[in-house]
Amino acid sequence: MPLHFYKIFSTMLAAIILILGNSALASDDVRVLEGPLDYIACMAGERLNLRDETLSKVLFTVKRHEPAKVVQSFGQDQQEKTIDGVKYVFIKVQFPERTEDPNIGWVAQVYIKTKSECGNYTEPAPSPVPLSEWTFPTVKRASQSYKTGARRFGASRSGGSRYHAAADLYRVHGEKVLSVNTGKVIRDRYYFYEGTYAIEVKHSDGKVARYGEINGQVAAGVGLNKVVASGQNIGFVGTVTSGCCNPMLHFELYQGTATGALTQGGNKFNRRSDLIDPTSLLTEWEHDKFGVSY
Amino acid sequence: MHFSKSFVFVGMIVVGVTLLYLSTHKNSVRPAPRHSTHGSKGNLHHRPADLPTSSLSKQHSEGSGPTESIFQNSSTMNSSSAPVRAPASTADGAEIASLESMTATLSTFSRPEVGLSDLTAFLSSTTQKPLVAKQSNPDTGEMSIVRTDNPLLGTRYFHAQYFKDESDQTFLQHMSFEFKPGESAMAEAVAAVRKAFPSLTNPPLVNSPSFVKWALDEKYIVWIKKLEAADLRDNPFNAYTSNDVGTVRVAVEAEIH
Repeated sequence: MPLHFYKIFSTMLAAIILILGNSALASDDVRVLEGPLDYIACMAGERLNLRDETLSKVLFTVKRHEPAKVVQSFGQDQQEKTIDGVKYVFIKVQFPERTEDPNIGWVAQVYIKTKSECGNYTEPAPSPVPLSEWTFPTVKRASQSYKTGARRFGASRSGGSRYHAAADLYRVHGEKVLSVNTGKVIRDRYYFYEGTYAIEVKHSDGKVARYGEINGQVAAGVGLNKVVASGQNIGFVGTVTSGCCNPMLHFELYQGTATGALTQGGNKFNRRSDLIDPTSLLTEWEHDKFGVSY
Repeated sequence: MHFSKSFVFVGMIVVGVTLLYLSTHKNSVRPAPRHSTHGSKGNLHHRPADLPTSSLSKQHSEGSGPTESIFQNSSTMNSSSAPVRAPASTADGAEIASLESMTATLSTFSRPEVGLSDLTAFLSSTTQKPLVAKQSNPDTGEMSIVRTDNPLLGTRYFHAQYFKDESDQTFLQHMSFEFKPGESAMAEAVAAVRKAFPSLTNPPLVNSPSFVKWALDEKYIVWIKKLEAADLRDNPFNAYTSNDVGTVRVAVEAEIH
């Protein structure tokens, strides 16, 4: 019994020390990257072999800077192989833009890096673009009014403890979502809610829009720091996994006078202080685009 | 040294999770830790015994240029191959222990008293090899994504997103992981969540065979989803094949809708 107690006490003490003061240990063991978690093939040459499970057969070759995703498969995700006297660790990688089946194979780990880690990768700087015409963010009118029910901005949520911070535009799953004006993507797709994603765009008049509950599909030419035009396809309508609601675009708009995360406490919307009601603007854009509005 | 109540509270929570981890993993089969080219001390510490130090130094640096045979048109190789990571165990006990450890992690580190550095320290201490990708912009601030390179057996794709608010305070917006598909995987995940979140005394808000959701409080939800083919498409972070249908995702998320 005393020995048992001693073991528990030692473990508790070790854990408390770890949490309270041992940040140096943590910093040594934690890999910190500056920039998005976008993996690419990063090598000096133009092409890299992707191999099968045995590492002896080349499935196809990938181009330098081709987007990649590192696979975790519940099983063996690493092998090593000596090639011409050099020992490599191979990891399982998917190249999602490839149409080959399978598009997953084994690549030397040293050549799979994030964009920020890849020394020969440079992201082209976006040039500023002037404000253009405002437009409605879906290709057709919302199938139900965004001014009524749970869809409207300010609708009650969680039994009245908070308010809805967006206008929900019900449409069809996978349909194109459009940028409401020119702007720059300041945050590319991230986990938003129940299996859907969000993208954030700073528009040319300074307003920031969050296009939420989109699916994960990337729209052509859209990515972090990329400039988008008015009406450009920037994402696709998604559906939350609970099945609670129709497929929709959850559209949030901010004046752009505050800084920091768009979701946060401090008000009943649980949003940044410069959140604005987009309803009147949506009405205007809807009328301009479709000739009618809710 | 000043120990605030919340600090001690945080310590005790982590102690609990650590004890749970230790108790459930003492007989489990651990996968051999991965090593990467990033950092040095940690990698050397975790390096498998069959990979000598000298072999790491032979790996190419970015500027050194590649050998011919690893790139296109390599035709002849004098090579040998061996797995670095042990194959996944089929031992249900070990995988259930991992599931419970990860749900306990979600429970512990979604509390407001516990921060990002506490999470990464804990993930390091359990040899999961965390990495943090920080990206910021002048308008919507900093977002940090935490992933792990060496998930516990039977789990994978741990993912946490932290943001900074207007007062520069960091908060959790999303934390999730996936559990291996199986006939009873969904039920096992639901049981693990009930165990890890003892405050879930109310019935779930949604309770279907493939999706269960509770409100943790006014700000957070916890959900469990048996992933279908449609759920696996176009994930920006994770790679999937059709064999992954039935994988179970467990998530804690800010109530944002």
